[in-house]
Amino acid sequence: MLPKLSRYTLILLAIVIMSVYLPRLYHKVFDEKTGKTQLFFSPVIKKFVFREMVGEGHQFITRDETGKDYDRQTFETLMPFIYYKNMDLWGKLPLHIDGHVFDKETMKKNRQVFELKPHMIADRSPRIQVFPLLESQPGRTGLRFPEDAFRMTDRMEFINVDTNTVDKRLTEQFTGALREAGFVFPARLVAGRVSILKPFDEGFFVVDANGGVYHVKRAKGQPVVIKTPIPSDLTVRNIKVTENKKREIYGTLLTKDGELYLISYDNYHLIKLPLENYDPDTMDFKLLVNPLYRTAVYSDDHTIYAVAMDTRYRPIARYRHVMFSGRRIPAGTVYKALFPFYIKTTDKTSGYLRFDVIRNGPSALIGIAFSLVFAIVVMNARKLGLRKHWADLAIIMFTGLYGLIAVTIIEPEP
Amino acid sequence: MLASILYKEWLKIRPYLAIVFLFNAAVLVYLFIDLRHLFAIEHAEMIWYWAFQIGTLHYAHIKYLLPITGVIIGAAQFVPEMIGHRFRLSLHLPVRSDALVLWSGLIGLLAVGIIGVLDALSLYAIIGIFFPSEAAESALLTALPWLFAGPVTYLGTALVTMEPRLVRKLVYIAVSGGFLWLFYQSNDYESYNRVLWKLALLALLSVPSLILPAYRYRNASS
Repeated sequence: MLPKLSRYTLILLAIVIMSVYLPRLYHKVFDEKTGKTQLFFSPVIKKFVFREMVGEGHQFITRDETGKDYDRQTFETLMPFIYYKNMDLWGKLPLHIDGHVFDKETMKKNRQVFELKPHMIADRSPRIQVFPLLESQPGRTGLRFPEDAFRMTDRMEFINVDTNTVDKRLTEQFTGALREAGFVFPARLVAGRVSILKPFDEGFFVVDANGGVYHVKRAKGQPVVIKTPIPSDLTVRNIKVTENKKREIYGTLLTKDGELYLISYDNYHLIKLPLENYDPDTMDFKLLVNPLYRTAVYSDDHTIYAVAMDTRYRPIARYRHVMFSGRRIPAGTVYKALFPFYIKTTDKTSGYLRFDVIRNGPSALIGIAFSLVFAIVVMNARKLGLRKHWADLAIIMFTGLYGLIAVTIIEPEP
Repeated sequence: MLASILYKEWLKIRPYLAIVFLFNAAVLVYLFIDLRHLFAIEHAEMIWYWAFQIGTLHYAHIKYLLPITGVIIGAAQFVPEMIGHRFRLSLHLPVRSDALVLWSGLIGLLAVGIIGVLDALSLYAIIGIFFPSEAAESALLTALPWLFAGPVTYLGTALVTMEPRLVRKLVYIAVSGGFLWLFYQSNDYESYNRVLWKLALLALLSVPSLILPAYRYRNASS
C-alpha cells in the first residue's frame, strides 16, 4: 500500500512540474513575435490611427480607424507632436493646425506622457517601506540622496544611513509637523518617485489612517506638510508621482474602485479621466498630452482602448480595437488541446510570482481523449489489467498528456 | 531499533554535517565581510537606494548554499548504503523498510533544516547590522525559497541515490531538478511572498516518495 502511495505522490509531483515547464517549452518553440499595437489620436485628421505588427519579421500596418492605410512617413506626419523631430528634419515646421502655430520648442515643451502599468501599483509589487526624502530646495543644481531615510510607523521615523540608527531630531520634527497638520498614524500608503534623475523633487504623498492625503516635502531641511483637499473617502489605492517641468500635474491617483485621476497643481484639484472598460490590474495605461489634445490609451493582451479629450479632459472621441496579438492563432488552439491546464508562475502585471492552475478550456478534452486511448493501448501491450490500474486512467482523465507521461515513466510496481 | 537506526544515520552524517556547517558559516562570514567592504567604499545612501529601489540582492551569495548542503547530506547518508549493496543489509533489519527509509530521511531533513534555520538567523542578523529591520525581514523572505530548496535537494539526492535502475534515476533527476528550479524563478526581492506556502506544501508531499525507490531496491536485489 505504502509503495503505491509513494508512487502516486511522485506522479503528482511529476505532473505539477510538467504543467509548469512543458507549456513554457511549447511557447519557446512556437511563439511568434507580436508587438503591441501603438494607438494615437491624430490632431491633423481628428481620427484614431494605429501601427500594428501583423506577421513575421517587420510586417507592420499603419492605418486609421476607418481602415485607410498610410505609409510610415505620412503616418508620422499625422502625429506631429510625437514625431516633432522628424517633422523638423522634413522641413514641416512650424506646424499650422486649427489656427494655431507650433514651432519645435513649443512642441517639445508641451508634450508629456503619464504611464501606469499594473506592476507599478503599490499592492501589486513588493517594496521595502523605507524611502529617502530628498531636499526639494537644494540651492544647487541637481538632486542628491540625503544621509537618512524614513519609514512610517506610529511616527515618521528617520534612520541615519551611516549609523543605521533612528535620528530622533528629524523624527520628532517631521512627526510633529504631520500631527499638527492633522495626520493620523499609521500611514496607509507612501508614494513618491525615488530618484535623483529628475528635474526637481516633489517629495511624497502619504495617505493617513483615515484616508486623508498629505503632501510631505523637505525644504531647506524643514518639514513641509500640506493636507490636501483630496476627499478621504476616495479610498486611494495608488499615487504615481511624475515630476515634470510643466508643473501642471503632480501625478496619477488610482482609487480602489479603479477610477483614475490626475492630481493638478491647482490646489490638488482632481481631474477624473473618462475611461471606460479600464482595469488597472490587467491593463497598461498611457496618457499622451499635447498642446491640443489629451489621449488616454489603455490595453490588456487582447484589446486596446483609447479616449481622446480636449485640454479640459472632456471626451471628444473613443475607439477600441482588437489587437493582432489578441487574435487566436492556430498554435494557441493546438496548445489548448495538448495541455488541459498549466501552472502559471510568472505574471508581468505583478512583482509577485504566482503558482496557479489555469485551465485551458474544452479543447483540452481532445488531448485527454487521445491520451486515454494511448494509455489503454500501452496498458494492454504491457499486459497491465485496466481494472487493477483504474487509478492511472483516472489520473490521465484529469491531467491529459501530463498524466500519460507521468504514469508511463513511473510505471506500476509488479 | 529506531533509536539504533537514528544513531547509525547520525554517525554517517556527523563528519559531513561538520563540513557543511563550516562551509555555511564561511559563506555567511564572507557575506558580512563583503557588505562591510561595500559600505566602506560606497556611500551608504546609494547602497540603500540600490537595495530598496533598484532591488539589488546584496545577499545573493547564499542562493545555492542550502541546496549544496542538501546534496552533501543526502549523498553522505545514501551513497555509502549503495556501495557494495550495504542497503540490502539494512533492509533485512527487523523494522519495516518504509519506516527505515522515512526515519533515515527525517534525520537528513532535520540536519538540513537546522543548518537552514542557522543560515536564516545569521542572514537576518547580518543584514540588520547594515540596513533597517524592514530590509532584514525582506532578506529573510527573499531567501526563504532558497532555503526551502535545501530539503528539496536533499530529497532529490536520496531518491536518485536509492533508485536501482538508471532510467528511473534520470526520471528522478528531471523531476527533482524541475522542482528545485521552481525556487529560483525570480531575482527580485520578496517575489515568493504569496506562493511560498504552495511550494512548501508540495515539498512536504514529496517526503513519502522516498519509500518507492527503497521498495524497488529491495525487489531488484531480491
